[in-house]
Amino acid sequence: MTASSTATPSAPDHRDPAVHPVTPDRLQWLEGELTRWQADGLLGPDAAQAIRGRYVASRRFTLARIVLTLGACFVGLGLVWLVASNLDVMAPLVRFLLMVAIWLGLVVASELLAARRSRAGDVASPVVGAARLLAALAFGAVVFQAAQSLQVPAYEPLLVGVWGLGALLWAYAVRGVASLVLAVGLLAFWFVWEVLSAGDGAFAVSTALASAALAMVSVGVLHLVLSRRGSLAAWRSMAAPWREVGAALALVALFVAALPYAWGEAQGSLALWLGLGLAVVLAGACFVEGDRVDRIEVGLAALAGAMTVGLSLWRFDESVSDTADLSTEALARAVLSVLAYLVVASGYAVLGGLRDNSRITWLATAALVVFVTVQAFAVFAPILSAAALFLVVGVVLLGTGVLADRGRRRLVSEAKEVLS
Amino acid sequence: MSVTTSRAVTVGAVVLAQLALVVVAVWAPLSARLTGEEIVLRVAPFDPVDPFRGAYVELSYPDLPDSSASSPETQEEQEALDAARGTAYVPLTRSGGVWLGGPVQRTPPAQGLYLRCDDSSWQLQCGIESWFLPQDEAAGLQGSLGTGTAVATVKVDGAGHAALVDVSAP
Repeated sequence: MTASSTATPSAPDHRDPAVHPVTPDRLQWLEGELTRWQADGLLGPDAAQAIRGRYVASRRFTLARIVLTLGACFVGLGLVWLVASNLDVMAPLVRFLLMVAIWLGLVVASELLAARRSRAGDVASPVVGAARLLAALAFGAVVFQAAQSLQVPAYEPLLVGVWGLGALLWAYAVRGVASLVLAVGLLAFWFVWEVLSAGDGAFAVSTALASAALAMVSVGVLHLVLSRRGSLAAWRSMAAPWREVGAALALVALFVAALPYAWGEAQGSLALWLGLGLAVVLAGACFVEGDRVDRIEVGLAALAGAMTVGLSLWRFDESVSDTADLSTEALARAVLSVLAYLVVASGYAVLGGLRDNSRITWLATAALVVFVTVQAFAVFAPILSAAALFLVVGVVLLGTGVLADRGRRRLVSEAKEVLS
Repeated sequence: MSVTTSRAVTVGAVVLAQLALVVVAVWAPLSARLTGEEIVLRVAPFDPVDPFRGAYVELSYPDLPDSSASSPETQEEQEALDAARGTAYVPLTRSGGVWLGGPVQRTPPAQGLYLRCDDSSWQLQCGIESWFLPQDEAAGLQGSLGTGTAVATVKVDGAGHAALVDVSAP
């Protein structure tokens, strides 16, 4: 276990329950190893039993977890839309107090459930996570009801930002990963909306997405850095939402920048430049403090950001609204866009392997398929058939894979020579 | 302090912080409602639906300045105007039963009531542009406001924050 160790719980935190949930595959591997270690005389039966007793099999995506999460999302969004239905049978203040009562009730209920789970040692139960997610969603209903009761103008991005910030505080207070996923998503949505509402055009949108991606990946990696030092070991599980949402945003930003349409001036609001500056500072901190894989991860987000900004700055003299009239320059831009996307998406697929995180690998694969499909039908169709583009991209990927495997085989043979 | 007590204190502190965030999000209209003076402005309807808060009537104010009305003659004048856009103060004066807005100023008026607005976009935004109400009533109000005689009751505090309190069509 090399990189995969980054995904396992580190030294037990005293505030954590004594029993840790692990996937059945990992538990099966541990059982096999314990048996071998006992046979080799490395462990006694008591120690093996004590180690085995620390873990319980738990699938990440059980039916109960999926249904509970979906149910929390439906009820939470239902609460928000209950606000939207503007129940005029109740006075605005009564509606607000009702939403506050529901939210506080969910906060108390989720904490009581967490205390009960802790007492019972039932660490695999997904009910607490769903209740916490519901409380985070209900906080959004409180924000929107307050705004509606006071007639705050429609389409105000600040409200989404406040919801995201509140959900973020809640997520860290209770260490709720599902609540953190919601918070990170809302904050990303708020940032892009804020930039969009400043009306600075397509350049600002793609750059905002890339900046948000770099900042989020960096925050996630900083969680890993701090947790390795032991002071914030419990935050290790909070790294994944930042890193994965950040990776998704980096791929979306490059996707948007690669579209061959008329790009505006390189203008941005103060919010955009502040966001970009913050992202660069956070990335710099990761480069200084992180290990090799941390630097690869942040470097990949920075590379995606640089390519996004570069493509967004590549403007044509005339507006390109009809792909049938692709100029030579537009064609060169499209080819470079495909190459850039191949590099970044492949990088994320490799990173998924390095981090033992299959979600990032699948995300990169899906993004690459969608990107090539869109480019094939929307951009290259007049000059190259979709089949030809798929063949070219496929051959490039196969060639890269063969070269990578050749390098791996050479490393293995060199290692064997050294050992012999 | 036991783990349970410490946990309860943390969650309590976060809940208070979240409530403070709600107050921050709605501070301008809340302040206007609690401390503001009530004025009446003529109002005209516009359009409806916010995905998070439902149906509403978008309002425009014929007696407040129009941020897109000024049309400079030269490119330089246009650029200077665009650079100056942002926070805009609109002095208010009473005229009969309603209040009228004066020309946009870049600093708060020394005396009298005024609105603190933003003219960065095509429409002057003073925080009183949306009137949320049930879907069926929104459509009805939209029709009745078309007569041009409707008025909005607005509370304005000393810092120019405004809160829409009522919209009525005689």
